[in-house]
Amino acid sequence: MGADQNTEEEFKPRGAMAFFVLLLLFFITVYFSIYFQMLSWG
Amino acid sequence: MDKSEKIALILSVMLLSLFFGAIVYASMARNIEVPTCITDVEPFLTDTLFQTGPDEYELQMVARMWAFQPSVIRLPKGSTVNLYLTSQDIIHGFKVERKNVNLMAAPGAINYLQVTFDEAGEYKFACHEFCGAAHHTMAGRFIIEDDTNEPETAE
Amino acid sequence: MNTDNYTFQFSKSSKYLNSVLLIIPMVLLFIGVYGGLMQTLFRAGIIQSDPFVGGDYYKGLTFHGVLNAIVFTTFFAVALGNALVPYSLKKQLNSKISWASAILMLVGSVVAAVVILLGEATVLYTFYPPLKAHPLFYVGLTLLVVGSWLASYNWVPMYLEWRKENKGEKTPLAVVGMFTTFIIWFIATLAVATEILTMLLPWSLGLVDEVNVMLARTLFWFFGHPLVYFWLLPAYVMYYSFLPKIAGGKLYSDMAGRMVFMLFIVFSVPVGTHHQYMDPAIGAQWKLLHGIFTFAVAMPSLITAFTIAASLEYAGRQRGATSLFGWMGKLPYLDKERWLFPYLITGLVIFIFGGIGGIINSSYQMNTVIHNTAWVPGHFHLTVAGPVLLAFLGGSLYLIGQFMNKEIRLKGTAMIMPYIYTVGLLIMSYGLKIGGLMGMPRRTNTGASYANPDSILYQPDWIPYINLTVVGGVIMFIGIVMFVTAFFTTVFSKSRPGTDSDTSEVSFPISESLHDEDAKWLRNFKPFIIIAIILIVLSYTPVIIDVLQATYGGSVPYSPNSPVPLR
Repeated sequence: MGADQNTEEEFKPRGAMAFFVLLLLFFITVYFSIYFQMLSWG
Repeated sequence: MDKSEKIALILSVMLLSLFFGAIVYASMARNIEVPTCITDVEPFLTDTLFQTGPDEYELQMVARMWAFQPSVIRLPKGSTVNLYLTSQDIIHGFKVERKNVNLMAAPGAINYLQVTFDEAGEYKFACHEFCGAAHHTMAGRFIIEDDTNEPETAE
Repeated sequence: MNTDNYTFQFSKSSKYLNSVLLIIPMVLLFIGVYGGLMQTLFRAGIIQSDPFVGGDYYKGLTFHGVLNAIVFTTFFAVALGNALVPYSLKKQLNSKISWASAILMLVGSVVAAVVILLGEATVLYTFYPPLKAHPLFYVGLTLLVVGSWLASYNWVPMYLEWRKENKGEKTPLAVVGMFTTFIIWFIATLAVATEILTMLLPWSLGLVDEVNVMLARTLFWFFGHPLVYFWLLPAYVMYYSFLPKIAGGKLYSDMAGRMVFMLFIVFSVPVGTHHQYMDPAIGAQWKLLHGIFTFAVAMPSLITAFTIAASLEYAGRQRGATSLFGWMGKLPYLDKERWLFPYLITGLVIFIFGGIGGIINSSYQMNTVIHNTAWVPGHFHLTVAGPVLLAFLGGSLYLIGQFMNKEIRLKGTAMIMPYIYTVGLLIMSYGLKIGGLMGMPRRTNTGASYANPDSILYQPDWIPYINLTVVGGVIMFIGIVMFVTAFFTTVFSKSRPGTDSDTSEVSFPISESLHDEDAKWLRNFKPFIIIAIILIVLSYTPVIIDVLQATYGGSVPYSPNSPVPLR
């Protein structure tokens, strides 16, 4: 149990963080493609 | 709060701030705006188009089941149109292709937007709010021309 | 399913009630889904009349929206609350109240559905005046909403009792989530109830001549945006409470879940005018204010994305993953015994696309690019018909098995269905979104004009994208047929052998938390509700004032079938 708790506390969600950063980059890409469409129609 | 949750929160705030900055830029530097509330225009139920300056026009458009009045508007290239839109009956929508013109036409209210047509060509518009049985036939177009003809409209 | 040892014995009456609340809406959903399939075929011009409800595209659109997005979703939210609140608090539902609420909801839904199918309420699920429906349409919707309020009132004394008996203990997260859902729902539905009871119903009965169309529309959207959180939050309850456990892990942070729900209470409602960016009679500055609050309500969803990813990563690492993304591969995608997992994970993947679409739509003047174009149904199929529907379907199947004491039948079919549905959905939404960017309007029977080569309005450029929606829609329909088959096979199967259905007990896969933070400031609804009310008053007072000042004259009713007003 003690060993489990140690590994639990040691768990750092680096994969989730990497996923999250990629997610936000994807969001930025999609967002600005619509944004620049809007600017071109102005 | 856990450290990684804090980082996720901060990144999210940064993302939304970036987007908000883009919105502010589009508004201030490029004059791309949403319609606002206007109270100084007399209600109208017939359409008119008249010139108000060298390249400036005022267009009062009426949406009704199931046509826009006018449905064809011919203007010279470079025209700036002050567009006023209302409805004679129910809620209609109005979107012009390839332009940032997207408006709701409501009875009892007047919508306003300014649009400049820098390039010649045909800009079709359609009703995009369900307005009954023939909603899918409710459309029209701006015809923007190179030569300096008199502006005209057609039903 | 990997569940807690903890089981709860629902009263026989509650089991029967909850089964009814799951089965009847599933039938109504299927009718609505049929309408959806027909729409894709109409829009492509493949048909202009269908075998059951004839040639009115817009009638089909109305029952598709109402049955799928209003009726089915409301029933499931009530059923999930009726399941998780008693289970988590170890208390029984008050039978009289739950049956009264169920009867109101059922009568209201059936009345509304019949009126729509008879063609007397072809006004779409937004029912904007001055298009007028039969009075019974408005009555039916009101009964459905009031019934749902009653269902949630049932849980309040149970919760208060539990708080007294368990001083200092954290309210179970699932209960926090369901209460958040219904707090938001109650505030939101007050506006649409006002619109219906003080404006539309008297007007449709002829007791009142005219209505202020812009005011009605504004009241609707006061309701209409929090409506999407009413849809989303029960799915979030499943993501936070069930998903980590089913995946073989733990919820990364309990505090994150609570914070997310409290943020939704605060920011779900003062945002509705982002659906009215292109409306007249509302000042641009108020539209911007609603836009800013909408960005705030995007935050809890972004936090959810991270927290659930971290929870799944933990699960994947428990199963031996070591690389940065390897954990994604070590999740139970195709495990028949964990068939609920696909319903939740596919929804999350779809929500990646739905979420950014929502942020774009709410971005003030960017709305000009997409408002009322086909992009919009492209967006909302990636949300309400994506993560929400899939979670609700999976949840329904899980709940019906529990309440009727039946083994899930056709588990393989049930397990694989979300993947098939997702493929169809992504294809259809892609077609709708690109079509929308090209100017294709929503809520439009394109098959009769824009997609018809014989029409002067023919838009050949749009055809490939309309065809994609047909392909996607057909695949989605196949997925739904698969699900409904598994669901009803389960319903009509024999009960679990060796058990007595009267006394059988129910269990749910409730996740433990990795980080179980104290976070006392998140453990009381009251301050968040108060802040919500303050923000609502601040954001809506100026909007209502503008609408009342800038509109002139009311509107008499119109039928969708004639430009001549009804009186």
